[in-house]
Amino acid sequence: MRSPRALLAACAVAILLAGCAALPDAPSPLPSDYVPAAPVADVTKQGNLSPDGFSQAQRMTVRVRNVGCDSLKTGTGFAYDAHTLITNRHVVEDTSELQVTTYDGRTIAVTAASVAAVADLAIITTEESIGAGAVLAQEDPIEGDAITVVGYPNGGQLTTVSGVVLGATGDPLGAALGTVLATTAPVEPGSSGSPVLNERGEVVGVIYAKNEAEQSFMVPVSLLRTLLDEEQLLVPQQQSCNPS
Amino acid sequence: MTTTPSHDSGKILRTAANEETTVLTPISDVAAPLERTPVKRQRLWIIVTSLLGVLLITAGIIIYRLVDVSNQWEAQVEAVKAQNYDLGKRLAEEQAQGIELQGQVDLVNEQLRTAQQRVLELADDVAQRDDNAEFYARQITDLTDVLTTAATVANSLNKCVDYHQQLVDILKQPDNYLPDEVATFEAGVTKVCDAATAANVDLQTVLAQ
Repeated sequence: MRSPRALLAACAVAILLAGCAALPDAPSPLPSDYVPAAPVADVTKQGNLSPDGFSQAQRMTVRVRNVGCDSLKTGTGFAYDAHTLITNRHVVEDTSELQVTTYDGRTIAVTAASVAAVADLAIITTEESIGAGAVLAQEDPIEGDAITVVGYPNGGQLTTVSGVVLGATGDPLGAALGTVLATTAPVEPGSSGSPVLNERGEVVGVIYAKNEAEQSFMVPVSLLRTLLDEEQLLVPQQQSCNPS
Repeated sequence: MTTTPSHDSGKILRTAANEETTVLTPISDVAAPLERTPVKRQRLWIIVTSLLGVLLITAGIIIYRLVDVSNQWEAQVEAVKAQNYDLGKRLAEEQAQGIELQGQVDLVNEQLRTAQQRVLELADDVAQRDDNAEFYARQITDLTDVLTTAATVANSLNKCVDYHQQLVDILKQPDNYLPDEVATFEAGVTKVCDAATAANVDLQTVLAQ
């Protein structure tokens, strides 16, 4: 008789202790501050905007005025680096003086110009710094790629238009070796030398012509890279009027 | 030794000094249970009572503990509720400020776009003005060239007229000059006048353009 009762008592004590062990704990102290730390602004992700709100593409694009011996014409160019501009050969040909102005109306003095024989491309060097230059894409665009063209059509305001690449074709003017690329971007006289940008803002070509079907043509960046890598392909452009 | 009759149950108790009380039960009475508590049952009662006491004390401690914990939780709930109200108020203020700032950002963006457009327009005005300046400079240069040419033509024509006048004077006095001299002079006059006339034709062509 004693053993069952003792066992019962032991069980009761055990249950009691188990109950004590299951008692809820007191709440832990509350945190003193629920506000998370403010995120640190990543300055590298602020886009390619300058303090004046203009994009890198707008800032690097310049208006080229060719004061010729018999005429006055305008074109477009863009900064490759701080003192080097890229434009079309036909923009700088037959010139007595080249004048370059920026998106905000500043005039940049030109020191020299060189033209390429293998493509409708030219290099202009400037005395003053233009600012940050363009980033050249590693590869040519392919058919269907979206592009943006920044330039001065008809010598007017700086304008941005967009289009898509139609594909490779022969040079309609016969001015370039190899193939060029046709696009749907609408351009006008004065847009010659405009940079063609891909969706990442990299230069994939240089506008140099258009046809009656409102298609524009650009020299692909691969040819531009070849030209920049091999300076012997460039011929200095004389800035004077021949009496002849 | 005394015998005391029991009024309650009819039992007779005999009490003697230094003598244990003995309950005498009549044989004829119904047999009643013996009232003496056994030692085992006493111990059991003691154990049970002790156990109940321990349980009671433990229960009291547990109740006290539960009440204390409950009070602490309740206090913390109140504190959290107060902090939530505070955070909610701050959140509402921040949202209101955010909306206000977004409005200001939109306004500034609009102003920036307007300013950018104005900058582009001014830059274009400057470029057009410079284009016109270069064009007019070219025009001035061309006009200067034309004026120079015209002056030269006028000078040539004047020489032609002068030579013609000299030729007329010579022809009025034929005795003073040899015929060969007159012919040579006349040929020279004709050459000068032809050159002046050709230059004048060129000038008129340029002016017509």
